[in-house]
Amino acid sequence: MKQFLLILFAAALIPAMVSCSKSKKEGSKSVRISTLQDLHGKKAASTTGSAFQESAEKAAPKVKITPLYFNDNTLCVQAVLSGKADAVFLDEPMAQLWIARHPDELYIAGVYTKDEYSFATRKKSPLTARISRVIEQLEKSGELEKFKQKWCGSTDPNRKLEKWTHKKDFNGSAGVLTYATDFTQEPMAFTLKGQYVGMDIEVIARVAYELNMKLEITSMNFGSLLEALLSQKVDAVGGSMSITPTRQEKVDFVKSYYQGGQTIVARYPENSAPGGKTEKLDLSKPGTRIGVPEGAAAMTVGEKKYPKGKIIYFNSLTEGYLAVQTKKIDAFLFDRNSMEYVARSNPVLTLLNEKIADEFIVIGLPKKNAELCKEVNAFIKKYRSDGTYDDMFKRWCLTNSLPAVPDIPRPAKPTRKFIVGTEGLNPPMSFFDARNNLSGFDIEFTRRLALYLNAEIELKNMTYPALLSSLETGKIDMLISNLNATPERSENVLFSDCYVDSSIAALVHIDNCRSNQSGIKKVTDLTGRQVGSNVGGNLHTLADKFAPGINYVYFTDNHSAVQALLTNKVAAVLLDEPIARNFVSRHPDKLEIASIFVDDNYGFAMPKNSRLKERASAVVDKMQKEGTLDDLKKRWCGSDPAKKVLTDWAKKFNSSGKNGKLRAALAPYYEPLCYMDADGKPTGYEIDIINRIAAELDMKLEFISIVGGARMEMIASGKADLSGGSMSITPERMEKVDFLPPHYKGGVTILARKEQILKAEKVPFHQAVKKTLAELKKSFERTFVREKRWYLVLQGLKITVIITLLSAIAGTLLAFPVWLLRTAKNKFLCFCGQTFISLMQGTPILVLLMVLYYLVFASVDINAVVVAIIGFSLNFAAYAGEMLRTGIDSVPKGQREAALALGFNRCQTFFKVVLPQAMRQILPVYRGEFINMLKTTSIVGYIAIQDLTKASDIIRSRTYEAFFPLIATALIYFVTAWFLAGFLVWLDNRLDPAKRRSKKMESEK
Amino acid sequence: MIKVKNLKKIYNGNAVLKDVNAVIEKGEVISIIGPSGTGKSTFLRCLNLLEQPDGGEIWIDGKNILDAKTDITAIRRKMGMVFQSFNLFGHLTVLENIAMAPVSLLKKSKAEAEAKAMELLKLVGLAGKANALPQELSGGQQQRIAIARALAMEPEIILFDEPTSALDPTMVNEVLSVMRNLAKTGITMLIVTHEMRFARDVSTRIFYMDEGVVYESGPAKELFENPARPKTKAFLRRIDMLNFNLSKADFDLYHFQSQVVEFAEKQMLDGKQIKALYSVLEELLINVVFPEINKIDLEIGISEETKTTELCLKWQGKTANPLDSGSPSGELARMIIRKRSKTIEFTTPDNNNSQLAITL
Repeated sequence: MKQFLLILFAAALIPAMVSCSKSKKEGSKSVRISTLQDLHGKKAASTTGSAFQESAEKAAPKVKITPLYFNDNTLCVQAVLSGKADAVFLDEPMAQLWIARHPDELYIAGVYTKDEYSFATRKKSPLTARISRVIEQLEKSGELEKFKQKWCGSTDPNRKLEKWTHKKDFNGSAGVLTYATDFTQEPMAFTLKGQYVGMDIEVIARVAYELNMKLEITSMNFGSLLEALLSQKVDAVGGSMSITPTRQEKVDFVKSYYQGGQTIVARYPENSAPGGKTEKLDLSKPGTRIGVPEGAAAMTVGEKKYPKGKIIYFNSLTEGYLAVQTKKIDAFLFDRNSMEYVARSNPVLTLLNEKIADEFIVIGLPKKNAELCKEVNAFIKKYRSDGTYDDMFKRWCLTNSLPAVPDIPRPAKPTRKFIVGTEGLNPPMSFFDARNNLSGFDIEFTRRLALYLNAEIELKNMTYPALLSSLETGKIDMLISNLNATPERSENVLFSDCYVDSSIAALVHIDNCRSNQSGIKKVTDLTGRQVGSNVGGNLHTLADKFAPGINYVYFTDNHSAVQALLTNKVAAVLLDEPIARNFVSRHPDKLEIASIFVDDNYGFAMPKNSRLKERASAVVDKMQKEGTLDDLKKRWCGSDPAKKVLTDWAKKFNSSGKNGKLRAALAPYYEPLCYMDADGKPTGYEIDIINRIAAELDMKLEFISIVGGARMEMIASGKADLSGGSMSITPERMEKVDFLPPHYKGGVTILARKEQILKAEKVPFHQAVKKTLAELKKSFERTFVREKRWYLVLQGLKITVIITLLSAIAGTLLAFPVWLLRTAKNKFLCFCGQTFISLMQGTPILVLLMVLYYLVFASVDINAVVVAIIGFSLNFAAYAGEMLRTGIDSVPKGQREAALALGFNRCQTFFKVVLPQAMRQILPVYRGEFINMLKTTSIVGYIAIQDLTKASDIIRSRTYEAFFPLIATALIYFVTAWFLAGFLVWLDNRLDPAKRRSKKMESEK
Repeated sequence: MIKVKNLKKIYNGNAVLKDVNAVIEKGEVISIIGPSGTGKSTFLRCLNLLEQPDGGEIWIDGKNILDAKTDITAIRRKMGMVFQSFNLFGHLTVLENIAMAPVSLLKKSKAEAEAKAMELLKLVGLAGKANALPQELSGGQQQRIAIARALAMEPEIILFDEPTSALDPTMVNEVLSVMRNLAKTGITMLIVTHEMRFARDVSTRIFYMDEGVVYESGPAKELFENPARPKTKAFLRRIDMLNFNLSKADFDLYHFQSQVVEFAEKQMLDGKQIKALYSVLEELLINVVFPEINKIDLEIGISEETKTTELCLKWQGKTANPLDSGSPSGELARMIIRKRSKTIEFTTPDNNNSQLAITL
C-alpha cells in the first residue's frame, strides 16, 4: 500500500515539477509509428522552409503534430536518431537514401501525400513556359526516366553529370540562366567528387542546354531559395521543391519533373529493430550488473527501467567508472555529458548510443525561495536564446580538452550575496583545474548568473549529500552542480528550469559494445563514435553529410589528432588522403585507411587567363602519361625516407631559367606533398612536380611559403603565378582560379586503427620490470606532479594531521573526567560515565559527525574542521577513558599503599606512582587507537572537509587511475601514522625505566 | 607513644577486631603473633590508617588520628611500613625508590637524598644494586630495599607486616638479619611475624592476638617459656586438641579409636606412639573410667613440637583418683596405664569437678 501511495505521490509531483521547469520533455514512447495519425501529439522534424508540415496538416487535419525545424536534412535525421524527434518528414528519394544508411534504426512509416517536384520561377517570367516545354520533351523522350534511374535508383559513386555544355551545338548565346539550390538534398542536389550533381541538376543543366543558355548555379539554404527568387537574385530555384498552394501564391512552377511523395521516416522503437542489435550489450537482460550513483536521477531510472538487472549503488562517480573499467559491472548509468568526458579520456570506456532516459539538469534552490527561482529561470531563458548556451555547450561538452572559464566580469556593486554549492568532482561540469580552482560549465554558468543577478557569489565545494543537506539547512543558497531533478529531491528542494540538455546514458566497457569497437569500414560506421578533425578544416562538415551523429573532437593540428587516435582516445580521424597515407607509412602496423568517402583532387591553381597555364598543364599531362607522376608518388608517399629527395629536373632539362621567374606560393604543411625538410627547405611530391614544370618551362622557380588560407589570395592578388599545397579542386575555387590537371587523386579519408592481434609475448623479466617501473613513474607524474597535484595532497594532509592531533589532545584531556565519572562511587555519576562511554563506543563516528554538523550545529556558522575535532575528541575520550581505567586498575594496590605509607597524599600517589606505571600498560593500546583515529578522519569528506582522502578523490576524478593514487594515499597515511605515533614511542621510552637507566648510565660514563 | 583503645574493625559483618587495647612505648620491639585471620595485619594497618577502624581510638603522640581534622600524611611520614609483598615502585630504580620520598616529602635535595640512600643501601648490604630495577632483584633483596626505603624517611616507628612470609627459607635469614641489626639501633618496631624464634630473640614484648583481642601480651622470654593462657600455650606449643564428650551408655570404642588414630597420624606420631596411645585409651576408658563414671569430657592434646600427648579427662562429682584404686579387675589396666604414662595428675578443681591429666 505504502509503495502505491509513494508512486502516486511521485506521479503527482512530476507534473508539478515540470510546470516549474518548462523544459520540453522528449517523448520516447515505444509505439510503432505507421501512419500520420500515429504522430498525434508527437514531434516531427522537417527542414526550415519546407512544406512538409503544411502538407501533413492538410492530409490529416485532426492530427496535432509538433513541428521541429532544422536547417538541413542531416540534422533532421540526427534528431530522429537521437530521439529528439519522433519522426522526420522527408521526400521519398531522400528517405530511401537515409534508410539505406541506417537500416537498423530507420524505416519508412508511411507516405502521406503524392509530391510533385518542380522548379520555381518568378510570376509571369517568360522562362516558366520555356522550361516547362523542355521538361515535357524530356518526359516524352524517356530521358527524364533515365535521369531518375541514374540519380535516384543508384548509388554509384562515379556518377557524373552529362556535360551538356560541351556539346558542339551549344554556345550559350541565349543568355545566362541563374539557378539556386540547396546541395544537401541527396540524390536530388548534392556534391559528389567536388562537383554539384543530382537529379535536379541534371534536369536544369539539360534545360539550359536546350534553351542554349549558360547555366550558373549558386548554392544556398533551402529556406532562402524562394526569397532569392523573389528578390531577383536568381531566375529559377529548385532542390526537391514541392509544388504547394502556399508557394504558388508567390511563385510559378514549371512542369513537374519528379513525382514522389512525402514520407514519414521514424525510428524503430528501442530493441525491436530486425537483427543487428544482438551484439550490443542488452541492459534489460536479467542479471545485468548495472551501477548507479547513489541519490542521482540515474539511480531511480536504473531501478525502474531494469528491474531484472542487478543494481549496484556507488557513493562516488569515480568508483562507478572504475567499476566499469575493471568489469565489475556491465554498465554505469549517469549524465551523458559527464560520461562523454570520461569516455573521451579513457580508451576502454565508451557510451552506448541509446538514450536510457530523460534527464533534467537544474539548479537547486531553497524550497521557500520562489522569487529567486523566477529570476534564475529568466536568466536560463535568456542564455538559451541568445546563443550563450550553445557556445558554452560546445566549449565544455564537445571539445576534447577542458577549456578555462572565460573572464566574466564580476558585478561592480553587487546588491546581494549568494553562496553557491558545487561538487567539484564532475568534469566537465564542475571540477578542479590545474591551479586547483573550481572550473567547469557550472562555474561559468554561475559567473554569468552572478553578473545577471548583480550578486556576489561565494563558491563552496562539498559532496552531494552534503550539498543537499546544506541547501535544506540554508548553509548554501544555490546548488549548481549538474543536479538531476528527481521527485524525492523535489520534496525538499526547489528546482529551476532545465539549463543543460542531457540525458541519462550508459557507460560500458568497450568489449561489451561490439558495434562500438574499432571496426570502421565506412563513413557510416562513425555515427556515435568519437572522431578527430582539424578544427580549422571543413572535413567534418563533409562527413556530416554522409553520417550524422558523429561526435567530433577538435584538434589544432593533425599530429595531435593522430596521437589521440594512437592512444585510443578517438576512434578515427578525418584527413586528406596523402596526409593520411603519410601517417600510415609512419605506423604501418597500427594505422590504416578505413575508407575514402569523398573524392578529392589536388591541383595547382593559376590565375584565370594565365599564359603559362596551357604549357604547365601540358607538362602535368605528360608526367601523368609517361608514368612519372606514379613514380614520384611511390617515392614520396612510401616509407623509405632515403628516397625522399628532390629530383634535379633543372639539370635534366638543361634549364637555365631564361624565361623568367615562376613564382610559386605553396603552403608547406602537408607532408608528404609539400613540407619543410630538416634544413628548412621546401620539399615534397608537389615541389618535385613544380620543379619539373619550372625546368620544362625553362623558368627559375621562386618559392613563396604561405599559410593554407592564403593560397587563393596569392593568385587573386597577382602575387604568385602558381599556388598550391594539397589544394583541393572545388567548384567554388574553380570559379575564381584555373586549375592544372589534378596531379593527385585523393579524397577525404577516415584514418583508423588497425585491428591488432595481441600476441602473448614472453617479455624478459628485466624488461617487464622496466616497463612496470616506467608505468609507475608515469602514474606518479600524473597523480602528483601534473598540475601541481602534490600541493592538493599536502593541503589535505595538513587538515588530516591537524584534526588528528587536536582531537587526540582534547580527547586525552577529556579522558580524565570520563574516567572519574566512570569510577565514581556516586551511583548517578557512575551511570553518567557509563552512558557516555556506551554511546560513544556504540555509535559510528560518521553518524556522530553528521549529527553534530547537521543537527547540533545546524544554524551555527561553525568551521567544519572544529566540528570534526569536537566529534573525534568525544569519541576518543570515551575510549581513552576506558583505557585509563584499565591501566590504572592494573597497577597493584600495594603500590598505592606503599606510597601512602610513606606519607604521600592521594594526588601525589596518583601522579608519581600510579600513573607512570599505568601509562606503561596503556601506551600500546593508546597508540593503536590514535593511529586508528588518524585513519578514521578519512570520513570527514562527508561534512565537507577536504582532507587527504578527499584530495585523493579529486585527483582520481581527474586521472581515472585506480592503482597508483590509492596505493599512494595508503602509503601517505602509513608514513604519517608512523611519524605521529613516533612521539608516543618516545614517550614510551621515557617511561621505560630500563631504557631510562641505560641512558642515564651512558651519560654518566 | 601509641595508645590503642577499644579498637574495632568489621569485615563483611565479621568483627575481626573486637576490642583491641594496647600501649606501645618508644624503643620497644613488639612482635605480634597469633593464628591466621585473627586480625594481626588489620591491627597494624589500622595504626597508619591503611584500614579505617569502625570503632575505638588510636592516639599517636597525643593525637587522635581517627579525628577527621588530623593530617594523616604527616603522621604517616613518621611511621614507616614494610609489606609482605615488598611493594617497591616498579618504574623506578632502587636508588630512586629510596630517594623519591625524601626528595618530595622531606624536601631534601636529590644529591642529599641519594647520598643517604647509598648509606642505607650499605646498611642493608646492597650498595651494588643502586641502579637495579626491582624486578631484577630477588625477594630477599627487594625486602631489604623496602626496609631501606622506609628508613630513608627517618621514621620513629616502623611497622612490619609479615615481612618474611613471602620469602623462601634461604632468603628469610638475610632479612631477619637486617631486622635484628635494626632492632639494636633502638628504633621502635612493630612486627607481625610467624618466625617464633626471631620474635623471641629480638622482641622486647610479644602480643598474642586471638579472638579479636590482644589475648595475651608480655615480655618475650616469659611468654614463650610460660605462656599463661591456654590458647597461647596451644599456639606456642603448636598443640592440637581433640575434644570428646563420651558417655558410657553409647560409647563406641572402635569409632572413637579410629578418630583418635586419625588425629594422631595427622600430628605425625610414629607407629609406636600411636599404639601406646591406643592401648592406654582403651584400658583407661573401658577398664578404669567407665565402670565407675558415666559421663566424661576428654581432651587429647598432641604437641607437634614435643611429640608428647596429653590426655585430660573431666567429669562431674568429686571422686577419688580412679587410677589409684578401684575394682580389682581394673588393676591390670591401671598398671599398664601407670607404666606407659609419664605423668599423672589428679585434681578436683572445685569440689564439684574432678580432673585427671595424663601425659604420655
